[in-house]
Amino acid sequence: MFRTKRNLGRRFFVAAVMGLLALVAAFTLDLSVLSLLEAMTANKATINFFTAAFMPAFDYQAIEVPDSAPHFLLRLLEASWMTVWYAAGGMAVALLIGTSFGFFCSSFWWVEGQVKNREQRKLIAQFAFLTYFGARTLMTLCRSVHELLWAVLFLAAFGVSEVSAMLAIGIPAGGMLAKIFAEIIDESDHGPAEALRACGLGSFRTFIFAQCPTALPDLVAYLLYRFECALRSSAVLGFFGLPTIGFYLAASFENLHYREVWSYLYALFFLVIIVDVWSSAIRRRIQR
Amino acid sequence: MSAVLEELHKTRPRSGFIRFSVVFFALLLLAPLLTFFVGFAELAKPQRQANVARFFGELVPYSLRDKPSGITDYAEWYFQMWEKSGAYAMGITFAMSLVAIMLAGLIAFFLSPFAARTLMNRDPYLTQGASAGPWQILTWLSRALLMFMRAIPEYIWAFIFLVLFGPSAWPAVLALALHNAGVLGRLQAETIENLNPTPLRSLRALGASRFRLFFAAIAPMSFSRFLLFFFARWEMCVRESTVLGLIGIVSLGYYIQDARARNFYDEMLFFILLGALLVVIGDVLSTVLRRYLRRD
Repeated sequence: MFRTKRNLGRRFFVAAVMGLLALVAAFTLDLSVLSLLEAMTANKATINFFTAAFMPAFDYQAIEVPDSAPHFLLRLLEASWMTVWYAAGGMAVALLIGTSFGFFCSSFWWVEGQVKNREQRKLIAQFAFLTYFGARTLMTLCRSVHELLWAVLFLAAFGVSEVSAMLAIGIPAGGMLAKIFAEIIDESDHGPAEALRACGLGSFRTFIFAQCPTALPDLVAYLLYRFECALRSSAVLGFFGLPTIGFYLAASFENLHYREVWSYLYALFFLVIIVDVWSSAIRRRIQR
Repeated sequence: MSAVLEELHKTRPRSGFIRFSVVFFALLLLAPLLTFFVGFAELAKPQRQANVARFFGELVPYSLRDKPSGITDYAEWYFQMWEKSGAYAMGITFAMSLVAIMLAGLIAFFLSPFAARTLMNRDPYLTQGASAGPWQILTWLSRALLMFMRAIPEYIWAFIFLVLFGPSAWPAVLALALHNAGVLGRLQAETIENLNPTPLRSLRALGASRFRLFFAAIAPMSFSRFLLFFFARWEMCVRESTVLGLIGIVSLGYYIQDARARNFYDEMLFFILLGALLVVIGDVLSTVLRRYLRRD
């Protein structure tokens, strides 16, 4: 727990350098606190917006609403459901990518104990590059392009459709899942796997019956965290024309219906809370 | 042997809640996946296929289309783009992420003690499981605030702030700072709750106030952990600051949006690749720094 004095010094040094760099960056970006305060108080919009936080809308703020429009709460529910829908689809795609590639990104296969004879060693030397490094590079590529940039790309290619949205959420999340799954599997206890291997089981079966179950609690926890991220991405995709929370939020904001905006913000907040509470409930039960 | 196994199998821990969760999430993921595959099959139709093929053709730089060109021609085109606006956009994006993560770190560091239940109770560290009393309100409020900041994505914050505060780099920086402060604050609050209580208890027994407890012991004790989280979040900041340009703040995303609006898909691809490069740079930098900090 206790660190040496020298070490703490190094930490403060790094923090100080970061602070200095941030200051330089602030100057190059021409950020001034005064101009921000001025912009904040220039019109009443800021005050109106933040006071609306205490009275979210339960009905349309517009005076005239076409008869065909559903009740505001129904629309809120629909927007929330669509957000969950696209997030779930994205996660399904991500899970397909993540589990299949996570398998190859794991270095569990190349552990010295696995290698039985010289021939196998030669085989590994030939294929390790193709599978292990190939899979890793591909996954890095997937996750280093941001969800929204994938969305821009796919929306241009396929138009506004479910496929574009789910691919946009699923590909970077899949890259992330593959990496983290592989790391969790490699870092969790190898004891059960070694026991099974000592009994003469092959590496595939040790992987499925020992290594994966050992890592399961962490895998589930991370998966649910990713689902939360997918919910946020899915909400943001509304800004690109998909019928999720972001779409209605942007429309309400542009009509200056700030109380409606806060209703959508709170809806997203509750979605995230539900996943968060659910995730901790599951973790409590499987980590015993 | 098999009897023992059967006995073990019978007495394994079971939970109806877990079963329900597994079935629920399986159904939740399966239903949209089916529509995804239906939509994907739709794309295979000749008309759609032609559109997609045309799009991919337009990803090739305009000046190099329809004529044989080697790798050097591509390199030259990309280098020109880099000199024209790529380098500038990348620098701005990077600067934005730096300011944002610093602000987020400051907010989180000073907000987190209020969310730590071990510190915010009637008698911190001295009475085991002391009742929270009125402090509970403070803890719940700060936790709810952190959670809310974290639940709303940067993009939505930036979209709102851009209209409220007018065009400058501030909306993006504030949006990034707010969201990441929410994440960092929660992580830091958990770190504080898990700190070794012995030194804190002795300080408290000597009569240190909560304020002194925080600055003299909790802050230095949790600082190394905090820095690790800080750099991990910085990585995310770099990622997000690229994208925030899509709504009109001048960063990489702005150039992407601009190219898309003009249907210059070749330039769009260039800036998207630049964004990926920036993410990789942020990744490497943060990993190197965290390794440097972990080394003892």
